[in-house]
Amino acid sequence: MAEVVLKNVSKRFGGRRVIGELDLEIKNGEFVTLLGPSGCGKTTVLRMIAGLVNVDDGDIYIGGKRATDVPAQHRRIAMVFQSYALFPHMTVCDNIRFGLKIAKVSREALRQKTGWALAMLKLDGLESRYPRELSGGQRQRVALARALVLDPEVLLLDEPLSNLDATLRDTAMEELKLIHRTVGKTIIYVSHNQVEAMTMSDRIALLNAGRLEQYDTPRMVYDAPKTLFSASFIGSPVMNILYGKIAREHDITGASTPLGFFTFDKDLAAKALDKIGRDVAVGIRPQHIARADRHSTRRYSDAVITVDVELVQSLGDRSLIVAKAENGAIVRFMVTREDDIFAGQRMPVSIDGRKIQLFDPLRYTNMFLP
Amino acid sequence: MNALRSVSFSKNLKIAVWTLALAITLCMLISPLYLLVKYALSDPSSINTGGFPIPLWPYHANLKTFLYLFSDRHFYSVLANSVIIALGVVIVSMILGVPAAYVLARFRVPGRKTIVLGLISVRLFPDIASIIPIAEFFIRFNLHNTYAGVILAHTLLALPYVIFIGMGAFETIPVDLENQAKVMGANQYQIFYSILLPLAVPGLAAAAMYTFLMSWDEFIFSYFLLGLGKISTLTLYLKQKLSYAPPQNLLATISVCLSLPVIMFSLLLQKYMTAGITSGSIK
Repeated sequence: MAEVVLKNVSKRFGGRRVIGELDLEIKNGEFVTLLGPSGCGKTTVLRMIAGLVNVDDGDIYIGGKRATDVPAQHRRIAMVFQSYALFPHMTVCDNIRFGLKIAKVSREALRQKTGWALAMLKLDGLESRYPRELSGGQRQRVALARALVLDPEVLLLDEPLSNLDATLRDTAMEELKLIHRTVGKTIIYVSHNQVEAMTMSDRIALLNAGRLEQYDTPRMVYDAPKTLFSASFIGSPVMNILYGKIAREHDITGASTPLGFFTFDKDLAAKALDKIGRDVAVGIRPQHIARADRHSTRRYSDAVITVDVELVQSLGDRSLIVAKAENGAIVRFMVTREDDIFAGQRMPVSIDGRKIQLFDPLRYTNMFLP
Repeated sequence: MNALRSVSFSKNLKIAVWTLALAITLCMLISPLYLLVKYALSDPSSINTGGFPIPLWPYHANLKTFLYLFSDRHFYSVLANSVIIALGVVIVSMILGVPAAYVLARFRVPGRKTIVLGLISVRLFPDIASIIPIAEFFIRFNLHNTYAGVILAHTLLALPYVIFIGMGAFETIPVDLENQAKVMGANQYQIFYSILLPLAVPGLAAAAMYTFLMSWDEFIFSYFLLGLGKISTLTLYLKQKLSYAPPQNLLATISVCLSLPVIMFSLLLQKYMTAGITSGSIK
């Protein structure tokens, strides 16, 4: 077990910079997800930690020791590839034993460790099968067993669940989290799937175009997105982004947007005093917009507007509504099934002003976060 | 109903035309082979009158010509020579070609494209044209009339194919398998011997069989390097017999012996090729 530290790491592929001056600290025993859209460089980061891709600039430390120039063979890490990369000419047992045999462990230890890994991943009875005779879920477990049996300092997982179907993925996520709790290893997990990242990680490192957008707990990434990218990448359905200005009307400070005026609370108003007149990108999660009616109590910070429903997408117990405000702004929000809303309907909605996020539209950063 | 019938009619017509074309092609391919076997099985007393039509069935079919051929001590040594040379070529060209194929397939070798292009173009060069300098060179180093010489010469011919087929075999193996082995602590040699080689076996086996057959059938290089000296191969033996104007049956029988491994290996290859050993490693 060990912590992993990336200091100022850069990587270029043929002149194009894919990772730029990345700093990342992963604590001992932590489960960290490198999350980002495809092409953001997350797999490259993982491969650099594994030693499969060399670092152009900066340093990587594993367990306090500089590993930048240590070849992959000697890094004491284990990796599960997206493709699982099971050796097709070896049985499950031989696949799991491959690394142990190379490490020349004793026959007794070989037997014991293999048994432990098979039991851990519920692979008993499949020892003599070949990879082609296994289901997708079983292959994934063999790959994991093969990695864990080596008792690595750090476990690297490259989208190990992306080849599984949805139901299998849910159970695999639970299993993986349980395994992490049992073995307590440092796990670095690569994914483009925010659900996987949110459910399993201790911290999420959100990457975009080779840069770290935010490195925080799942909750913080969701509640306090540091950048406009974090805000729009995390959360489903996608956050509403509206462009407006910070304004002061009748001694009240707030954000003036196409969806109305959002009054700031005292703290925020004080902080916003020197920003009056500035452009702002307002992020509103669809979950924070609700149907308004006569009886609902209205807080001072809420904005109430009337919208025309254009599209109703059923998500089972809830529906996602795409609607247009009178001035043409598009807004997405959620309603419960009981609301019974149909396209073409005109309805009032209230937006919870306390939950809005304010970003600098030029620098893409959160205006009121340090 | 009518439309349906015309569709099925045109479909049937298509099948009929294809079947006919296939039958004609097959006839053209098989008839020389058939004649060969027919002559080989005919009684040695049969004479080719050169008349037409050629009789369809062997004349008093028996194995007398085969027995005659196999009673010849010289034929055995010729057969042995061909096998020794062909096996030698397989061994040498695999030892040289497989590592070369691996390196060309997996590493960024400077001038890789030029090397591959060179390999192909060397083989496009007519054998008869390249034999003069090669023969001179070999004679200068006293490699003519030796096993080593002819094995080396055949290796020259086979190597480009071994490298080419080998490259294909290694390229189909996912790089992730190598990376996985590397992360698990395997060094380059362990990766090669325990991961790549076993997975490349079907492709390499094809290359080996091809190499064997190439050497087995080879005539021009053998002819110039061995001449009609002590070491003779099957092809040279056939040529030698030809110049004495022997009965057709004997020539046909030698040819059948020459062709047998081809048929054998083709069947073997087919079995190997359909095995699909890499399935299941990568989803």
